[in-house]
Amino acid sequence: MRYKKILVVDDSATSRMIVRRCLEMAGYSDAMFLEASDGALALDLLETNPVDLIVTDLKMPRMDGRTLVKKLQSNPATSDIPVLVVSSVAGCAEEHGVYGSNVVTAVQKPLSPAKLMHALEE
Amino acid sequence: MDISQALTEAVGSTFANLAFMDAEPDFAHPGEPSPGQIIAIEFLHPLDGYLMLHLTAETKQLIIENIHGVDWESLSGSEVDDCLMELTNIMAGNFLVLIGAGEHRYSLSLPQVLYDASDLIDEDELVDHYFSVNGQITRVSIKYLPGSKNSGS
Repeated sequence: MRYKKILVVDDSATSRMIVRRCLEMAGYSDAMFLEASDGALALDLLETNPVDLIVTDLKMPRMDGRTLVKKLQSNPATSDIPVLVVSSVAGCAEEHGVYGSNVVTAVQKPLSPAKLMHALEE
Repeated sequence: MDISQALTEAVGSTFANLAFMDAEPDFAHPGEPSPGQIIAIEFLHPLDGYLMLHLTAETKQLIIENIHGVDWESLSGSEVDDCLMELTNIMAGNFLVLIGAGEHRYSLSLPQVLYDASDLIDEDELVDHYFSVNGQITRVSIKYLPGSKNSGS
């Protein structure tokens, strides 16, 4: 599936830049990217900006990635948006069950275009 | 995996994949890295402890420029700090996953930039590991105790 509008959620501006750069190199150079520095800001942004894919970190101040995923699942307007979790501690398969059906997969940082492309093809 | 092996793997893969730099253990390190920057992060689950990354000014500059792909003088102080904190976060997270095999949850604090490690912890509690990062001596100090500081959220 081709994602045309992608929301990147991470408290680190460096990490948001890397996610965007990797996605562009993975074939999403034509996509429109939106950014938020925590889960609460992401939810605010989604009220007026529907997206095709959300890429989120887990550990963030104010609202973390797990809470964001749960809030997305509980809202019919956002429950179908696929979510890709990226984190420095996201590697274990057991984590997948924690998130729920809207999470595509969890990818461990550091990211690469190949890692992201593989995750989105799963 | 033992601590030294896990740290070597986490430091090597983080520098290679994030900053495109070579990091090898330096068992015969010729001395301490000249003061530059310290970035600290706390292990909360499944371990209790710290990881502190001590960088020379030269290594710090190279990391920033490699990750951002621009001259570091064009970046703000907060952009520089954010970049170093993200590198430390990834390094600590990879170490935690390698050392805590079988755990379902991992938790780290948010990283912080320090000018003196003793601001955060008694340095005698830390074990120092030395690496050659693109030829520059780099120290990674860790405190590692089994058992979590919280419930592992």
